[in-house]
Amino acid sequence: MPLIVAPTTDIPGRAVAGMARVAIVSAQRLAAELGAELPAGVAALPAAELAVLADLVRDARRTQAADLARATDEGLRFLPRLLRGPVKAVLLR
Amino acid sequence: MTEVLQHRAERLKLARLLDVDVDRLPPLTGAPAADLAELRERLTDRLFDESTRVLGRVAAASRLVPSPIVAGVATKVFGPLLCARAAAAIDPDKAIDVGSRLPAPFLADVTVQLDPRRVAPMIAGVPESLTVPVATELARRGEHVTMGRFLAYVPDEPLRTAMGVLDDETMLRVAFVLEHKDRLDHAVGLLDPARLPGILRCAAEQDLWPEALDLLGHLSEERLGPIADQLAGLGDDVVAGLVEAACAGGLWAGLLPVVRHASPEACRRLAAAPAFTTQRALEGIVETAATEGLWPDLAPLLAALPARARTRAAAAAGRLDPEVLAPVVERALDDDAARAPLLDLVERMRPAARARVREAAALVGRAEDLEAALA
Repeated sequence: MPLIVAPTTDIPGRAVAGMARVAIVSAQRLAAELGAELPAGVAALPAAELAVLADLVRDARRTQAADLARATDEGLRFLPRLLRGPVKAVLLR
Repeated sequence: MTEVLQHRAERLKLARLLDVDVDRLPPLTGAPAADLAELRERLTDRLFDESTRVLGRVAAASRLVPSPIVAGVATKVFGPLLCARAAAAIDPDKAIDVGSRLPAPFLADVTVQLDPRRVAPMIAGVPESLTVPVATELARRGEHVTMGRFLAYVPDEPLRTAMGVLDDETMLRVAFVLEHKDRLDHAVGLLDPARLPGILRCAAEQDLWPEALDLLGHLSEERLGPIADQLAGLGDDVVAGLVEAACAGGLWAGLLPVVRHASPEACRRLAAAPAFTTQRALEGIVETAATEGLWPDLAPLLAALPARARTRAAAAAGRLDPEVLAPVVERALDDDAARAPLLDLVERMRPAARARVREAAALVGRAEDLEAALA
């Protein structure tokens, strides 16, 4: 899918500076979600793409944490009664 | 693999890691594929590191539970994504024991989500009884990208057996998207040599020459020779398809080293194939050899070409700029095998083209050497 880049010469200087600020904020948000620096080519992506990536990474982290909590909880119910106590003790350690 | 295909594969891998459909990702066309791969690895580390504490406890708990019960919990509660994360924390022997009790389609789902870097000790111990059904299932689904991520981690014997059950098309497609291309030569060495003609024929029939040439480009001299000989034996129609693909895709740099390693008899047969002697093919061959420093690779083919084709090659070489010809002349003058074919071309050139070759020789301070060689 080709990217449509607005010709910056037709945009007032303040608007260009504003767009650059939005891109920096989005890059910072993605880096924070990632807990690491962004590769240069990724940091240079348009603000809108960085924002979508940051949202997707945030959702993936939340979903993983929630799924893990649910799975460890539900998993206990599938164990024979005898094992539930010792397994629960290890899981809650 | 071209940048475009690499980018497509990286977007797909990123979408899988995020557990979303690839259409939900932005195009990301502004970032090179290598940077997307780096992003994916950092995200993998983030997701794994964040779950380390919980998964460590799950792994410890799994030691108390018999494998058949763990397998039941894995399929009914954990699902493929969490199993893939947990596999990195669980003791490899336990993981394999549990895995051997899971159905191949579920294991294939888990494999798609696994990070091979983190489960390398487990993969190293996976028996053929697991590798083969999972590889077959992944091939059935067309999961070439996933298979390409794992090849470097699979030990020789299971790899040999798995390759034995994969069809020629799958082999070519997996090789093309492989993440560790430096392992290709070793993997091809494990392959039954009787498979090679079939794989080459498959490239011809399925229009997979770019994939095949990319594969050949990563093989050692030792492997290329027999393959080039097989290629020459496949007939003019197959060679014509290969030449057409090389012309259309600008893939001569992948093909010339193959031709160089053909036996003299195979080289003669390739050079006699009508497809190699067309103006279009010779222009592509000569220009690529000159610009990519492949003149020594071209020399055996030039020497074996029919006289009329050599005249066409001379015309193509004579149209190149002296700056492009200069390293060719220098290299040919220093290389016994490459010198004679170049001199033959120069003798076939028109005066204006010859003057360009002389200018090229002068650019590298070899004008006198060229004159002496021509005399």
